[in-house]
Amino acid sequence: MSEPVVSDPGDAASAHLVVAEDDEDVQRILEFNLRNEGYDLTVFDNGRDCWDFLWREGAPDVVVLDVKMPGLSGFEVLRKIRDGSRLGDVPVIMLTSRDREEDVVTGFESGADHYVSKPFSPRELVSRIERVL
Amino acid sequence: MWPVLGGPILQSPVRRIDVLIRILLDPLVLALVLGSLLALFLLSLEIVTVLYVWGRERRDQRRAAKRPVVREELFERLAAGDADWESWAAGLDEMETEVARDLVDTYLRSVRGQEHDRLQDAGRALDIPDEAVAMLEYGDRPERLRALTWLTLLEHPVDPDRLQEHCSDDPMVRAAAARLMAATGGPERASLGTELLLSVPDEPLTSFGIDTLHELHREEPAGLFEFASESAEDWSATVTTQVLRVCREYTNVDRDVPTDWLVPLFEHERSSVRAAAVGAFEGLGWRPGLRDLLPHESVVDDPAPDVRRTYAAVLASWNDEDALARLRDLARSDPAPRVRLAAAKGLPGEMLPEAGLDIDGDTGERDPVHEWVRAERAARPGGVGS
Repeated sequence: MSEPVVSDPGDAASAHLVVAEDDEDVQRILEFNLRNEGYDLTVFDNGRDCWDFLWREGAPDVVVLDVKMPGLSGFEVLRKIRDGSRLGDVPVIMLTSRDREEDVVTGFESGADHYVSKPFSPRELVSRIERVL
Repeated sequence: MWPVLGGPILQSPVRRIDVLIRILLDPLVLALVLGSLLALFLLSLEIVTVLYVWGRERRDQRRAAKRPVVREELFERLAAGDADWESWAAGLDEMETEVARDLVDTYLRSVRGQEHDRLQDAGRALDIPDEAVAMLEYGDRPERLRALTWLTLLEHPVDPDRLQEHCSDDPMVRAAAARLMAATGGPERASLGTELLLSVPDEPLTSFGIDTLHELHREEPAGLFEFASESAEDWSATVTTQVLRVCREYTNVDRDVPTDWLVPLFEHERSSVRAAAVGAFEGLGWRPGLRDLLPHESVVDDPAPDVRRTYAAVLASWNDEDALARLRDLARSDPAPRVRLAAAKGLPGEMLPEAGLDIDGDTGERDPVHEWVRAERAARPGGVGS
């Protein structure tokens, strides 16, 4: 095994992110990269559990939502977030499929702050998160 | 019934065999023997199947157990400045290598940027390109498709002659080989890829093939127009339609691309080809020299509604004064409601009355076009007539 990468927590150390992504492989690489950046993560594999958590625990610093998920889709979770007064202002970044222009438009219309299209660049995602923090 | 055994029968071996045969030929005995043999065969089959499944399951479990470990190592090296993939790959056992290849395949499809480049390095260290190239020569169809997918993900160029030799027998394989050429770049490869993809002029492209044709010429669509100029005469109507649909997607076409092959298609006997030829002008409309090639008058008079409906869509996408005036005329006077509806959909609201579609007053009209306009108005803030 190689030496583990030691992340530099920097300004992100205290930020709490909620991530919802149903593809386990994508979830793992998101987790790895975001933890490496020093974020505190709570990860879900479906929209329903993600929304239940948000409703119960209140707003994290950033929410990252995959568009297509079982239970509730990313758009549905986003609309619920924007409808809920306690959560209304939390920054949300959507993970959309490449070239799905309508996903991007729907995301912005539903109140997303940013989107990252798949295949995604982990660095780009981190940069978008930093921008909304 | 069975003969009685014993006495004189036992004295002669020949007779003994004869009796045995007679016993075996008895239907009941025969059924018992065959039934026993069948049961034995089924039992053996079941044992073999159970052992096979058990073996596969054990193997899958071992693979699943290794996956998180190999994945963590892969991620750590992806994040590191110097990944040293060669020594990593050399230290993996057979199953770990299999898992690592599967992970590289998965993540090459889900990440881009620097991590994607590093994953390609990992794939090379795992000897994937060499094996994939060899597979092109010796593999069956699924293996060649798999090899081409790998080579495309790794953007590993392969000699076009080799691809031509081993990957031209089937539309799906041709499309995968052309995709590899698209991924490994350059106008020359775009041209060779198109040649391979369309090497059988009467065999329709697969959906993936159409997408690949688009990908081959995304940067320089002129290459496709040049190729069509030389080859379109040989294509079947279906292939011609497919190529025209690809042309429709391009908006970055040079003003001097060859169009001699396009013009005769407005007179083609099949309306699907004529419609696709009209549609091909959608992305060219901003260039007056190319746009003027579209024979507006004959298209408006085309007997096939699909051709005129495509024309309406093209005019709507051009969306300038001249196009909107033509669209208004189409919405007002085309005999087919579908065409008038397509035209009305492309018109801005303030031009609908000019097209005879003013529903503010009660015109009594209830055809589909008026119904659509009414519904459209009703959906706007303020409701009907707003």
